[in-house]
Amino acid sequence: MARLENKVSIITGGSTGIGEATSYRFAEEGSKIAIFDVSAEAGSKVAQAIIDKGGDAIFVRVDVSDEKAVEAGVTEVVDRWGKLDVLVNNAAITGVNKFAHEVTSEEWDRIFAVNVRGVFLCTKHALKPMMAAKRGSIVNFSSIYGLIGNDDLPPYQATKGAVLSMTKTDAIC
Amino acid sequence: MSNSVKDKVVIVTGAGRGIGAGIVQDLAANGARVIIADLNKDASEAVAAEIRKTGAEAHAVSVDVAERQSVKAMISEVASRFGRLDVMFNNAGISQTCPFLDVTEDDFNRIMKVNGLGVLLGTQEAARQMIAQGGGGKIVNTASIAGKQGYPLFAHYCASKFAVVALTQAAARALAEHRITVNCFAPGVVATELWQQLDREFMEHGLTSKPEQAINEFSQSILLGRVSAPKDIAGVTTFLASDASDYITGQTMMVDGGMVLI
Repeated sequence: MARLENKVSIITGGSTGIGEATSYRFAEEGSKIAIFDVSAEAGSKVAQAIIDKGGDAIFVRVDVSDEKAVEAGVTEVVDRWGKLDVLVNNAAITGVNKFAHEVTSEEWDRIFAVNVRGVFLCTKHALKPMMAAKRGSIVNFSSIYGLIGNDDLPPYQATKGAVLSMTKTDAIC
Repeated sequence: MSNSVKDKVVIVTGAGRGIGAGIVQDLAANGARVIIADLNKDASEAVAAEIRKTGAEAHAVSVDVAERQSVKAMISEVASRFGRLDVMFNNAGISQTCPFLDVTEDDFNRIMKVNGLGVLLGTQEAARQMIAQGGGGKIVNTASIAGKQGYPLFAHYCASKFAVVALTQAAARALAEHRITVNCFAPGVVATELWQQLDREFMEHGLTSKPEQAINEFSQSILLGRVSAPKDIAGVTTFLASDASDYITGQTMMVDGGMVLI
């Protein structure tokens, strides 16, 4: 049962962990996959593994916090396959496990750059081909840490709360 | 991990029409062995007959979900006929349009008995069978956007659907040790006979002046710009019956085209 037959999907952070599993599962369901990741070695390996199983995949080196890289990556995908159906905003880092009085501005900015600006930038540039086609699907990864509070990874929790909020507002807008 | 429901024995209550009929049709199309349970045996027989025409296995039973003995008898019949019960959909439900100040004790009790108590009884009796046979199981309850928001013309219905969400969470915690997952899904506006009834009631209360005005006005906030059909719900319900949802329990999945964002 190929539920994503002929779809074109970008999976950010698609070379490790949940992103890697998502890449393989999407490929099994028939989607063409563009893996956006900062690790060329891991990303190329996953893309090659999908191709070896008869799928269609490319690795594109994209730091999701870098707008030029995101824009170029989306353009490369649309140039190659002619459209973009699905964006999975999976790329994220856990950041430092410190309380507010210990976190430096640099540490705070770094995790927000990847986890929040990354989701914003990928959404922003994916929306162009999706709005032109009048259809598309964007899947964001929040976390239980976007819903509840506890004493683990405070900056990470704030980023995941932001992702949840962006998901609702982007759905409405 | 598989999305398959092939050969799973699945009961869907209230499956003689509306969302329930949509749920069983999709399950059967994906290879499940379905039991169409409804208060109205003619309706469940008709749905079963349609499904059998496609070559799938379907069995109709009569049940009153608000009566424990009736639910017990259904589960026992299914267990003896099919040897087991894998998935129980507590879907049967009723509604009524009524201005808040006019809701009577009878109105409240009638809605709560079917929608609230019915889910408790169905969950308990299905769980007893699943525990006895071993190997876990899945229980899927029909909540609603009315299980997340209070609407002034459906106060008692909302109370009953909040109850469904509460029972889902409580049962998920109670039954996890038996590897039974319990989830619910929350439809928004679905074009079924139920909404035809609500539409009529809006007019009877003088709240609207023409047919379909109520459903159309109620649907204005749907982000995806249209009301849903039972087949819009089936993707999620078949997923919740399949192995692909094994790591999900205690959750409410909104399937409302974007009416309630939580």
